[in-house]
Amino acid sequence: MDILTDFFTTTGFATLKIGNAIMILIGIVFIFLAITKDYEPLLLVPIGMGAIVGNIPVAAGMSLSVYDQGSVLSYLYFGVSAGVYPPLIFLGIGAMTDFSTMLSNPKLVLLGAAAQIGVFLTFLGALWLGFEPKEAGAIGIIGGADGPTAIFLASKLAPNLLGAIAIAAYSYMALVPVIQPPIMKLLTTREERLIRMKPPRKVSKREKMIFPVAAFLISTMIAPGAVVLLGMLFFGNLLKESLVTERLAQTARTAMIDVVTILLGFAVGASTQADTFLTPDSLGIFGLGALSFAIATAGGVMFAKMMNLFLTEKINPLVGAAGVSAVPDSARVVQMVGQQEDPHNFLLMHAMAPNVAGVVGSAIAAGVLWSVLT
Amino acid sequence: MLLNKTGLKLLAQSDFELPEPPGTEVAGLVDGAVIALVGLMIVFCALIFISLFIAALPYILEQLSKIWPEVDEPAGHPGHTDSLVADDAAVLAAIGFVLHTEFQRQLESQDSSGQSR
Repeated sequence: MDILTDFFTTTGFATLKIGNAIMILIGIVFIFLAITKDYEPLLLVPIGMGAIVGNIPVAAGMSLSVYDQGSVLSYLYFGVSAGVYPPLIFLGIGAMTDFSTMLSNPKLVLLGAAAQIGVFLTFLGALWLGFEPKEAGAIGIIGGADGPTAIFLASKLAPNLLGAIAIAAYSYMALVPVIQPPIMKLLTTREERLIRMKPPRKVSKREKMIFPVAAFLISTMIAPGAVVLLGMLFFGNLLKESLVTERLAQTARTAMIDVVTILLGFAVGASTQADTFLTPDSLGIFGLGALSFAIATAGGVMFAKMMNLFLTEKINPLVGAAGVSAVPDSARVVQMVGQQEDPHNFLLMHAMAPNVAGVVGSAIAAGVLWSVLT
Repeated sequence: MLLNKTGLKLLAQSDFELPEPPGTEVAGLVDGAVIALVGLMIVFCALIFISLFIAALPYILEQLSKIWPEVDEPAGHPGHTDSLVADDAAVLAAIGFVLHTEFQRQLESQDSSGQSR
């Protein structure tokens, strides 16, 4: 009987805390949203399952959780805590990305920079709320709307907040179709939303081959802190565009990025143990995250409107909202909102330009924050 | 680190005063504002340079194409074509060998049937 009693005390039923139950519920909600609403399923399913796994209470002395030295999960989590997974994901993203639309209309690159105002204003907001500068930097990067970048910077500046920042970043990325349209409509007139843009010109193979090397050199000479993320991004793109390494590009954009996404999502989810995740700080991070997405969207739209004051060929200001680097969701949102006004206006290809510029911009912003705050 | 190099640290340490928000030091916020401003400027600077480079790229390539004309196949592809040629030769040799063996077999069977008649 004593053995049974002892065994019962080690089971999850005896040691489950309310916090663990809440986190397990959150994990189930993530999986539910991914399956029923198709919200970022490739991320929310691994994160949701990871959250469930990470919140099963285990008996003391059993080395099982991500924070227990030598546990299997801790080895998987090493890729997150050491910032290994995000650059590998960037390699895959680079091998997927077509920079043609950006190359055909270089002025749209600036919209990718304008949207980064969300990062820096959120950084200030976090400081205002009393977060340490390093923590504020890690929170600010949520406004970059780039999950791997947020995880990378959080692992370097504020590992204690990594779980909350990663969950906030990916949750809001999944909610881009909900967050962005009201802001876009609020800041633009119907006439502006109806603006049609000139189709992009054809980009030569040479341009596509030269661009990744040149853009890497330019951006990392200015912001060396971004060398890892941008190095892998542009390396992946070079694999794609060089046309002689198709096998490597194919692996990077399929099998490799899938493997890393599984490991990253699951490890991040498993790190959201109630004791470390359910804190007032996490609530603050979620609030600031939502604010940063809104500011970034507004920044892009307003900057596009400002550019229109000087341009003869006007830009549809909706395109500015794609400056947040949630690829390709924010570009799709631009297309959707634009077509609500004019079903024959195709903005997707134009929106991809600030979208991919936003990826570069958020990586540079992360690099700047890392080098300044370290 | 980067901030010190820009010299804006001095600005951040100036006597400029802001109303103190609850639980936060003014100096921290001023530093933060400077970091945010400089950071945004650096992001803009990098992307403006990239944008200028992209705008100049067609003109650079136009000049380049006068001395190095662009061809449809990239530089590495002739190697790929060569390997195909080599493969073709191997396939041809294999087909030839099979045909030779087949004809030889038919010839032998005709000879043997002729002898039996």
